[in-house]
Amino acid sequence: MRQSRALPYILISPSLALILAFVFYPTLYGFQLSFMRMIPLTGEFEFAGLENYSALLGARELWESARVTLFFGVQYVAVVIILGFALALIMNRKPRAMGLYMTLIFVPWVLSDVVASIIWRILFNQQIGIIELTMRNFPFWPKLGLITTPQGALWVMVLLGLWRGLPFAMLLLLAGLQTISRELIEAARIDGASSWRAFFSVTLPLMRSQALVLLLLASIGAVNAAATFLAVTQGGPGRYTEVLGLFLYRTGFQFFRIDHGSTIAVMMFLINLSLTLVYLRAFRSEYRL
Amino acid sequence: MSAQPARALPVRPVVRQTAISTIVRRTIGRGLLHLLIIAVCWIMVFPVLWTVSTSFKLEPDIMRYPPVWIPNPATLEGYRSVVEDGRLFRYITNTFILSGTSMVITVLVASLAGYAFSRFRFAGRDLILLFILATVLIPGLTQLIPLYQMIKVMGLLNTYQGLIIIYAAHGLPFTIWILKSFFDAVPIELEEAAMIDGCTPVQALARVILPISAPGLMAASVLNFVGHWNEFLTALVFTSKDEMRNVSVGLYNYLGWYGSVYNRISAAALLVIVPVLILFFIGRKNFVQGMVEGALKG
Amino acid sequence: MGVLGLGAGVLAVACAAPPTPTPVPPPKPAPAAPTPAPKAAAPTAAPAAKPPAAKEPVKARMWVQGDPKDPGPVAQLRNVTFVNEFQQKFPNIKFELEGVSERIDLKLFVTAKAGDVPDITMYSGQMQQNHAFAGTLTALDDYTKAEPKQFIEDLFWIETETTKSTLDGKKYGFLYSVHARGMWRRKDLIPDAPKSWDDIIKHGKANANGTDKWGFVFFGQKPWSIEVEYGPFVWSQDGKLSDGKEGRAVWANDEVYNAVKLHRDFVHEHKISPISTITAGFGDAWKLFLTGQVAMCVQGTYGLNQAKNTDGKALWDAGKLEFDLIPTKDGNPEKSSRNFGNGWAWGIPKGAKYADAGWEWIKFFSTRETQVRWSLLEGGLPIRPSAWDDKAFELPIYKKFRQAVEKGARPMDLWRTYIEAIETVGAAVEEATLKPDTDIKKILKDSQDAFNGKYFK
Repeated sequence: MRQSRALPYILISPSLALILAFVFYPTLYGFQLSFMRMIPLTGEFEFAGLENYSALLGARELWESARVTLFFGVQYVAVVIILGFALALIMNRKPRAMGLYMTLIFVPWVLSDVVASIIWRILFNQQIGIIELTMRNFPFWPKLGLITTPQGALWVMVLLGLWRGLPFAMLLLLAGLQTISRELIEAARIDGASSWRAFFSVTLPLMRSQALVLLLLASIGAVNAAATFLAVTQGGPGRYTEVLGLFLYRTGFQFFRIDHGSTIAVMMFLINLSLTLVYLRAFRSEYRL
Repeated sequence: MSAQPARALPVRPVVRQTAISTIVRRTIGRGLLHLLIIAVCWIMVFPVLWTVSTSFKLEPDIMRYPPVWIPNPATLEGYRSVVEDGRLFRYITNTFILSGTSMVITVLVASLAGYAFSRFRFAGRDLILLFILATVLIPGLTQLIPLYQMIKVMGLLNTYQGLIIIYAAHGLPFTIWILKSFFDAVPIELEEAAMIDGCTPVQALARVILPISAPGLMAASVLNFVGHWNEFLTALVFTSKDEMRNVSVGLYNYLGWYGSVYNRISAAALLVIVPVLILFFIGRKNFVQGMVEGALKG
Repeated sequence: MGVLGLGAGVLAVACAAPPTPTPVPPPKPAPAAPTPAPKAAAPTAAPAAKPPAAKEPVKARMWVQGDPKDPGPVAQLRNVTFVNEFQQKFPNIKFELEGVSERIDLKLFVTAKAGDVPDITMYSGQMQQNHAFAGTLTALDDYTKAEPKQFIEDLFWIETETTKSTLDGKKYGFLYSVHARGMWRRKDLIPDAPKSWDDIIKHGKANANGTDKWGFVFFGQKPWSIEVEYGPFVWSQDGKLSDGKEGRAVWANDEVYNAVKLHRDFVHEHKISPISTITAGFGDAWKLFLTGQVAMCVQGTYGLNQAKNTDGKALWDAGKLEFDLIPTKDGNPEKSSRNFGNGWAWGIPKGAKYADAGWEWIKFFSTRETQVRWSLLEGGLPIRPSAWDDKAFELPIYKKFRQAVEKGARPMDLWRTYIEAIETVGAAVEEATLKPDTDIKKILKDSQDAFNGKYFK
């Protein structure tokens, strides 16, 4: 680390200026709106104190959405990490034609939300969806169609998240795996550790910082998710897939209650922040900035 | 998972046999490995392939049960109507301009900041970095109104510049993070050698660090490009002229108008992803290498 | 969501949001289909040209849904023909058209809050109350007062009700045209119009095979399902969704229960409707009908366009499609076809620079002549009943449309935040129809309490 007076500030100033102007300032505005009330008909705002917060905390919808988000988030994060890890371990054996495999695996990651949603709607469509039509023959598949059942619709969304998110999760973890020297693992095995033991006692602990990054990104993504939900399930059936992000979108921009919408956004930020702190704590990370 | 053959083999008279069985086991192991990976690849790709198949189908085939993969007869109707309509290509061009430019700005600006955070100790450093990273946690939906006001005041509504500046700014925090951890991995000695040769820190960044970090820059670029390619709501709200639309908004309109004309909507969706797929394919090696080598090691 | 699509995740988070194929609530312009305008829209006596409104030439901004260059005949009529005619009449006004996708209401709201609005814009008629609530539109009462009495009195009452705010009773816009909902059916399969709910079941069963032929299909996806599908079945029993005064939810009542149970039974008990219909979008349900897999479907008069020109062309040309009133519970013709009447609307956003130019356009668009030509292409009826006798509407189906509008059309129940209300009850109804054994009453009660709990503590 070098000491220098002006240079570092000069270097960060363009970034900081852009972020302050186009990310931070607009956020402050939203934060301020969460303490305002929109006056009917004029559409102007007046100070309302904590009214929005108490109104929302008392609303059933918020808690329902929080629950849906939690269910979605836990399932999604758990599965993406486990499968991402498995896939990373496989790819770490550097199979021949790795380049080709990587390209194919990354196809869904490159798609945009809109395209991915279109594809998903076609796959699970009850009239023409190949997954729906094929799986319908199995007894465990819901007769209603997966996307029409409360839990099923959420799974459809978990699958979509997984399909889109797995490639990057795999890559992040692969990056971690490759920093672990082969000698370390082999040393452990010479000491008599089984493959599994070596995996748990050497590989896993060394993957901590990668796992933390992945956990953080996946969780934040899950909390903030909205776009694909709106495009694929519209929050249905009923409100069973109405995640917080979707609730925020509807309240703020469909019901035009931007005051309430801003309040939900602040709450989501707080959720993200506390998740981050909890993770950092749990990993007792010396994660250095 | 790792099925390495045990290392210290006891010396036995029948060494050859063991060797053969090892080879057999390895071959089977490798075969299984490939089988597994191919299965994964199939799962990742088949939704897209099904969309390809749908895009060539006529109505009866789309609705057919059991589902058919090869359309019979095949039709180019979906593609024809999209191409004849022509607007989609304008949207794709727009999106290239938007994503490309904001990607370049983000990566350039972020590499300066990333370098500063990686190499300098200065008052407020940790606090500023923490602040920048924390902006990633904000759900941005409610930023729309103030952003709109700002862009309007700047006279940039309905322009590329307006969207580019917003995209660039929103791409920064994460990119700074990636590049910083990348630069952290570059041995400081290299730079010091350059400085002894008379380079200023900025020259050292440009001549030594950035070239070495090329894969990292590539990774950051791909991340930004794909992210901006994806963007919907800002583009929707900040442009009202059709000539300025991006692909997400354009496709969304398609979805509204032709949502149940499945061959057409599939064709449009595929045409939209082809350019990104090609770009990704070209940049893939550097991207993967970049991510694997340096990014996000903390 | 993009989640780990990182760039995607993190960046999209910044602007997280939604490409949705919300079924267009109000009538939508037909997908591009080069069809000759049906029987040259015989324009009837044009009203006397007014003197130019503005003294100095102004460049006014107009927002239309979709693409101004959309080659479809409906869009062309409005965006090119009408705009040209208008500009000839008012050489001092030049309109610059800007296309906004189906999220036009969202965009209007955001830009109004940020203080940069067009001078005239389309908006969804049913979003009227929300727009008034959020202060995005200008009240037009000062303008209408300056017009001859006849100008307002000749408007159809639905038009007036729909474009009035419930908060202050002022008029905030003008409908494009009036649309009603009715029961479309396959005349070849069901020669006589079903009159009662039992008729629907009877004819439905006769035409359903449980796999690819269905008796009845409806568009069940919230929130618009309430206005297109469930509303009519509730209202025809004299049922209510709101108390009509404060906007308190009262949907946990017997009439709503009956309507929901009927639909649940269509799917689960009588099996005349496919399961997918419970969450089917606007396009999906209507398409099933138009492509010949279904015998009956409730749809708006705006379905005519698609029926005649695109998906339903084969059936329409063969004379197999028919439109009738929505059957009532016991077949009582007096109560028949209470349905939702509305349409797209024109409004002047609050803070518009050239509001006067916007007003001239509204007046132009609501003249009898313009209305006749527009409705003929778009499928609804003019907002001026005096125009309904125009010989352009001779086609038999227009008689049925007229019957549906005159006998049954009504505005949606009154709410301050209409869309929030139907989203809430829509979600409840969707949940209640999912399974054969749902506790409909409890689900309705819970959602009613949740809604009232927010606004009426």
